[in-house]
Amino acid sequence: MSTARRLQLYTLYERLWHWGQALGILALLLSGLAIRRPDLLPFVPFAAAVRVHDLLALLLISNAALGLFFYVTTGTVRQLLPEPRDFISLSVRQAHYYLRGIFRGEPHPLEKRAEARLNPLQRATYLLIMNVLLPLQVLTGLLMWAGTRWPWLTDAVGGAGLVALVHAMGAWAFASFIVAHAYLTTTGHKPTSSIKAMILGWEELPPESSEEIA
Amino acid sequence: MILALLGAALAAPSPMHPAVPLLDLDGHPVAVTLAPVSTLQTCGACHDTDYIASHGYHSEAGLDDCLFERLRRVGGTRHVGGGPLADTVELDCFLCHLRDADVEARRRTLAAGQPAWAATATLAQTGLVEPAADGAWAWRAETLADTAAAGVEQLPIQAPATEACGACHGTIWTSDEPLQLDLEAPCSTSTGQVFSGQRLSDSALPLADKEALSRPWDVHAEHLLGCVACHPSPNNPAFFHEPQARRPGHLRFDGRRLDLGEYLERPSHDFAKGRSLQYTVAEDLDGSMRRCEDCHDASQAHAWLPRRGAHLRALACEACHVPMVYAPARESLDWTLPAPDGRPHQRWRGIDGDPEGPDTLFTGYQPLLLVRQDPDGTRLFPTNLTTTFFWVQGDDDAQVDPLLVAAAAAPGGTWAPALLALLDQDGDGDLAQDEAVLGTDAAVQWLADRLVEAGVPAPRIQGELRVFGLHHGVAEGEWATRACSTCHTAVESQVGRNVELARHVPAGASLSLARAGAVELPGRIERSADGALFYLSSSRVPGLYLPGDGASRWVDLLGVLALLGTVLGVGVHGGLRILSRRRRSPHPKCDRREP
Repeated sequence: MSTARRLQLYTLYERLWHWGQALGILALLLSGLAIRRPDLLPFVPFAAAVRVHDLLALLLISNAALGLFFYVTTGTVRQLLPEPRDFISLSVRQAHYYLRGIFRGEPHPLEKRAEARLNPLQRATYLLIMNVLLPLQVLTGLLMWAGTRWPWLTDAVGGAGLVALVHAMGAWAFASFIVAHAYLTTTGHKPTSSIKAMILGWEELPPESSEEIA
Repeated sequence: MILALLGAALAAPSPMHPAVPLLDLDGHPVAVTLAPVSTLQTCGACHDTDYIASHGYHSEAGLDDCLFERLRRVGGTRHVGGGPLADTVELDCFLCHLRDADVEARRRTLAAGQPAWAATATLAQTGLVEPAADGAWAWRAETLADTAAAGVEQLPIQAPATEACGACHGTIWTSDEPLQLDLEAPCSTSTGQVFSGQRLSDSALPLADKEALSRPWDVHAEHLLGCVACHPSPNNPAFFHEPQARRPGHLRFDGRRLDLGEYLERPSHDFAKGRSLQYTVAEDLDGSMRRCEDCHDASQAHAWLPRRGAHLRALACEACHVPMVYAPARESLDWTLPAPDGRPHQRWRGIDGDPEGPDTLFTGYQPLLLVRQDPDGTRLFPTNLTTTFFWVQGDDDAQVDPLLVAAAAAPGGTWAPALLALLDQDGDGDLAQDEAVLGTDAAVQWLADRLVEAGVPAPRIQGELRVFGLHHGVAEGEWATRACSTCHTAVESQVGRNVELARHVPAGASLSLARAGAVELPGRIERSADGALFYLSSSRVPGLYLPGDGASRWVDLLGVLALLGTVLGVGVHGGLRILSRRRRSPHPKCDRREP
């Protein structure tokens, strides 16, 4: 009888970084909601929500910068970049698994390895999150913050109202991503395998080998 | 007692101003001719009255296209004389420069059709004159004895006091007696602003929660500032304030001044002014007055304020420092069916109960903040919105005289039976406040027919929405707005909320926005189910971003749909996974142990 294997996927720093970002994003979403629609969260003082949002944003940006430094200097950043080779075909296989194979009990089409933890769809998604959505939120948030001191900054890009609009759209996109991201963690070997891995660093993988992730 | 009062009045000459021989229009002493006094002749002996008359926009104010006859008939006698009316009513220097100027006596004299005696009537409290027949006045010869050459020593000439401005511009109260309010007084009823250093709790007004209102009506008045502190004569050497825009860039201070003698000879009466929303007079002087920032350094007193720079840029000081108006202000004025005596029907803001009733409570009102585009920026500032409905005629929309309307509706001083049949709902033979409204097409048509019979061409009803800015009644920091939720909320904020414009609207009346200067009115006007007229304000104005105002809800709608779509997607996907797993394994528990 084959037994499940355990593979160390995440270092302590990576796990702390991840949960720090997750908590930060959640808190930013809540405090942002309290700023955008204070009538929905009347128990949150508006001024406190603004201050907390500013502070959390500063922490999140700092954490993102540290993360970028870590990923670049350790070379882990390569795991986030889609491999051009077979990207389309592997993505199709992964999508096919989510849409069909997972309901038939088929194994994951691509096996996780310590040096290749993300499947092509994850890489593409995280590439968008890290290179488009997060910078967009940071940029629009900074613009709104700076615009209160130097209004010409926001005026130059269409006004604070437009910047706030884009920021709100980004926030909703983040909220939707978090829901999907949390759900997709249940698609591992066991429903809690991926969550445990992000907590403990070790992920339980199926005994039989599927094709390795490129 | 009368003699004692008269004696007191006569015994109080001006401490500074020399005795003045009162002269008539031809320059002869009135002590000899007993003719009406001429201020231009009397004052012109020392002061350059031609210069003053040509440098005083008050002569132009409040007139529009009205002429004296209309002013007299509708009671609009706040005009100081001169200007377009110079041939009929002389510029009345006494109105502002005479202590205890009898403004009411002047008004009565104008209303009686005696404009030549108007300036003389202003002297009624001096004991120099007494009423005569037909609204005219007569000199008390014994008081003028020996004044033809030596002058009238007891004339209490003075520099204009703040109260003088209050005679026309609103309620100004400097007395130690508890403050009272005249709801018939002009101007202050448009906004409810009161300029007084007295504490609200010490006033005689029935204010709600009065004991707690320990603030003064206006903090500047409490600190003994008068009107000229901010609205001085532009060439007054004591108050000279050259706008930065007019000063050469290399000069921080321009030391050139008139000396006092030159100023007293030719004092400009083009007083420094702000940017009035309603009036078109002296627009070249817009922004010449001292604003808050000319005296106060806001950065020194708002350390507690988050995003201080943004708030100070987006808000006029008054937005927070006029947080409430405690005296009643006009909400609507309906001239379409005036009372038999010609008075319009008014509705007040900030009053609970009948304004003239014994159990009235002044609840005050929170001003609506509107955006104003000024040369130095876009700012929110407090306003009162009022509506006026009136009849117009002809092709040029000229207003129909309210007295003519009153005569048509109530010939002989009693309501016409046909009108009562249309409007008298309780059948008591009179029209109560709520009944005296042309609320039906039939009533409007009936009165229009009567006006046509009276010679009014094509009568029809128009309405005007007017915006009045609030700049007085200023509260110090302790009483100023501090709560973020006053503005930063999507529900009933001071920026975005519904403001009642009129409880009743005449049938078929169109409503247009009267001149509102640089004010933005981004909201819309709607009628409620019971017929009341509301302004639905909005904060969505270009140049202003107000977090928390609920703007651009479509983004939130899209966001919620995206989020719900994601939740639905993962729910369906997860549910199908569970179902498929059960279908594939008859023993799910075993299956879970052995993936």
